[in-house]
Amino acid sequence: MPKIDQFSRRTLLRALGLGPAVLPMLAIEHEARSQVPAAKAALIIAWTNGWMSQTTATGWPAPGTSWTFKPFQAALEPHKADLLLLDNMNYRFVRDSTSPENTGHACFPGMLTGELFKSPGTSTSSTVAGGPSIDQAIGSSLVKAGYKGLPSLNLGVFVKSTGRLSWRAAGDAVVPATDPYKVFTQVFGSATPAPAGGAPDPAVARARDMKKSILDNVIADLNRFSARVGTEDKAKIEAHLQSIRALETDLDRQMVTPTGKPPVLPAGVNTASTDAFEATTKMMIDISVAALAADATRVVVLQLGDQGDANVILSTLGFKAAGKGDNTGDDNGFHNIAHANGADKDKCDTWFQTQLAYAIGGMKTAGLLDRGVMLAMNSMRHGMHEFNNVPALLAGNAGGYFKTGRSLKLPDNTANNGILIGLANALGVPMQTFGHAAYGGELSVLRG
Amino acid sequence: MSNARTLKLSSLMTLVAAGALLGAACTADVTGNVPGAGSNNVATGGSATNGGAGAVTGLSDVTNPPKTPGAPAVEGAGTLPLLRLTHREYSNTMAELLGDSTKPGTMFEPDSPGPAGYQAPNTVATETARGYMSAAETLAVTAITSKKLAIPCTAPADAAAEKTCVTSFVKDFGAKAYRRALVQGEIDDLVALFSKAKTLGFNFQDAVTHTVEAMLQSPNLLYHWEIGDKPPAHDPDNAALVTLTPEQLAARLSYFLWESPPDAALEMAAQSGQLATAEGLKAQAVRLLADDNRARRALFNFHRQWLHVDNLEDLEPGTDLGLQLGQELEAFVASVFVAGDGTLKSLLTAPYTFANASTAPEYGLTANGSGFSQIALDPTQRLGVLMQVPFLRTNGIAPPVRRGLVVYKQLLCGDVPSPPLNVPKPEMDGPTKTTRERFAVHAEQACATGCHALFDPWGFAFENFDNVGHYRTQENGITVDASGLAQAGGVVGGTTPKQAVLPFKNGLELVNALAVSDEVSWCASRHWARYMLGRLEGDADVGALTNAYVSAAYQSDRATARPFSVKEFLVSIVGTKAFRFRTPSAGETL
Repeated sequence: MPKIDQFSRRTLLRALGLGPAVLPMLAIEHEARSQVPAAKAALIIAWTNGWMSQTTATGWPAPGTSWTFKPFQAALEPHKADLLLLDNMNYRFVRDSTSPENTGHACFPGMLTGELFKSPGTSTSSTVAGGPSIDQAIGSSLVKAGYKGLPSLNLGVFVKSTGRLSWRAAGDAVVPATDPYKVFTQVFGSATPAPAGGAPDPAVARARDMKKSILDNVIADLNRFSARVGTEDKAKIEAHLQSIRALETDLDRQMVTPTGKPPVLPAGVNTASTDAFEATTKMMIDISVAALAADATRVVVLQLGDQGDANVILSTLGFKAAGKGDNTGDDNGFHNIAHANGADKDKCDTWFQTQLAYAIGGMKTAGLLDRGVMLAMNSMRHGMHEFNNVPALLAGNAGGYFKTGRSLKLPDNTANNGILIGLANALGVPMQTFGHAAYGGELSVLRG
Repeated sequence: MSNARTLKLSSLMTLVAAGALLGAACTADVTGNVPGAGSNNVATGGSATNGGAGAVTGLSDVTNPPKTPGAPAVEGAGTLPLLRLTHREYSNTMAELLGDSTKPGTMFEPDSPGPAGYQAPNTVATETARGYMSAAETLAVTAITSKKLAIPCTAPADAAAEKTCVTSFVKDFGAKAYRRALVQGEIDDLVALFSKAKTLGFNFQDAVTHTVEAMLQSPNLLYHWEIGDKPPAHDPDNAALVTLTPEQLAARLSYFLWESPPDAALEMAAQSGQLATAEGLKAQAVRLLADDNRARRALFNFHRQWLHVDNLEDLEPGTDLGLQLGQELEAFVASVFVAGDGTLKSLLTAPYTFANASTAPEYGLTANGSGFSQIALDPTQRLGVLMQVPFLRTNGIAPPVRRGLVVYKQLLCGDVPSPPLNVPKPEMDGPTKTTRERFAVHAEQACATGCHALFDPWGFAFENFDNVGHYRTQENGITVDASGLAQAGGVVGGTTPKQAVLPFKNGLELVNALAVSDEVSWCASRHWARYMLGRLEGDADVGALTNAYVSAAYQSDRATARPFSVKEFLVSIVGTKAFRFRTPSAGETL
């Protein structure tokens, strides 16, 4: 089958003697003409402290089409034909950015942006991403093309650190929602849904109109500011204006009647407690799959824990908070377990792999492996902070876009960008580069 | 200079500032406590050109303190970048404006430090805008229903009376919220918003509440830019500079020294023209610094960032330990700079701290109640802020590195670029070695020759304190060694000989030396300038910085040294052109 050349437009322009300066114009033209792409879906799951330990019991599958999983990945066995295993991805942005530390913990603000950091901050929890993340880029493109659902759904389980994964733009972090009950309401049952086919509740409409008028007033003030201040400051005001417009868009969206078959959530889970980490994870996976199945959104980012997991205690595995520790967290927190790098780490890793398998199973049942894809990413290989040889896992072919049933070892220095670009292209949002352009285009090997 | 303060640190800092490639902390951090890598270099190439570097004998660049103060330096002023309120300032502003005590700013996405190392936010991301919106809704309703914010009329007879009442309310409350008089367009828009609310069916009080919501989200409140539509005046001595408006000066002063908006007396001083002179501003600065309740906010805010006593909320999740350590530091710096002599020497060597019943045991002492009171510390064990638990504990992971970095980078303005790749970890805790021995091994490995040799030795001075700040003489049964030879390390690759410059027997000797070091007081001045300016100091600021430094480091004869007075520096710097004037930004409409 002849491959679609991702660079054909550029090649054509070069042949015509036109420079890249013409490209943005064509992009606008493309956008204006475009229609909402066919419903495809992506679930991105990310966590930290490494895919595996360094014990002899573990290891990443060898390349090929017939591989053997080590015990910690046994849960993935039934899904082999749907998997595309990638080894040796390099989070090059960490190496090339000024970063508070050159460890995998510093990866979160670039795993989905592929861009050098805008600023390092004083620690990995205040590092500022240098560009939008792929979920936001895909979501905003879809919305511009007329897609009516949520541009993206950003979820997290026990997220305590402010080190962010998803960004609307450089410096504009998206805070993941961590309360599954609230997310459920947001996606499947707005507290005040419009009656089917009827006009919205007048009180709701009035409150919405008032909020929008207030925001209009803020916009008028911002415009007065902008007329006065210097060029650099105008850019800051413009960013503020965009934030206000995003709030207005959200207000409009709240009037859209929710659709889709909701998942069944257990009642009364204290999702703010680390004791409920496992239960909350399951709830969030269920919500993610159901939201994608209902086309309530096309992209879900689910982060299990934060960039450190200092105080994540996997209590169903028998771990109990030691109640002591230092700034690297509880002695029995996942972070310190990862550094101990032994059998306890293997237990935790097995649990995380089982969650991936659970998500894959849910997607399969919902038909999402055919019209969608799951991308699982960790910020490091082992728990010892390596960020330059990290595996990634795709499940599902997104409408025949990815060729599954394979295990690949990527060449050294293969940046994460190529995978992100592949994801966008698979979802019908064409792009040639994303993030730091020097890291190259789509990783063509994903397609066979 | 003929005084005992001269410490042989000059040579060290010259070497350091020459740009040796250094590395920062090499340890993993997951909760947000690694001191950031980043440059301490001065901003250069700014648009202002009226700096006074050449006017002071011996001052070749900003990395060294003035050696022989001669005539006052010629002062300039740099640009004033548009900054929004930090979340702490926002909380304090809501407290002053609406009597709110909920600290709503703590619920927003946290502020990141700016390029100068201090929080100086200038953007409003979507989540922050959402935070402002939701906070404004709650704050407006609470303030009006609790009558902490009074509407001047309850039930106006008709629409015309309502409009008159609302116009008056908008002008009065607006002047406080925006820290300046409103311009006509702003008044019109707000009254129109009130009318819109009425049209939508809201009653009078609710319509006013919604109007207040808009004001609380307005950039006029959220940004430090109290100009309105006035054209600024120019500096009569230098047409390239413009004068800050009286309202801007009042706000700049109060947010600098109080971390909160001007009070009525400062507003009055602005309106009556008292802030138009350096002396008038300095008089207000003296008054503000004497207000213990408000000045302590800003003093704490500076010191927590300067000394990396930060990420307190991460310290012991689920406990109020971080909060309490913050209160201890706040009480201590207030005692030094508000009630005390205001010197750097006191900050670094005072033999006391503040404690309550739950924190006193950290020092092996007892205290009563939850309030913080002054307690004496054993001066043979601890002196000054660097030997108090807040500093020691928040820098207690990889302690030699973090504590050493603060001394090296924050007190001596040493330059620290990013750490190298593949940094080996220090040996894990073991029962047979001291912390120092573990880190000594670390320091002999990869990154060590180029970086840790520069700052770890300063950190070894604190070996008498474990990672939570408890005093010790032994670790794992071995007598700890807190002596050192703080030295200028070589370039990565180890080609530059190491030069011993400051031997010390223990931490007490080190802090006593730092307390009388010109380099430290000059570096502290530079850090205060960064905090005040919201950016790195630049060429244009050097004249003002020098003059303020000289008034704080010397008697009025400008020749006799005295213990460096931070308090005098703060008062003096607000009288300089760097505070009172600014260079317009490129593209600005004056």
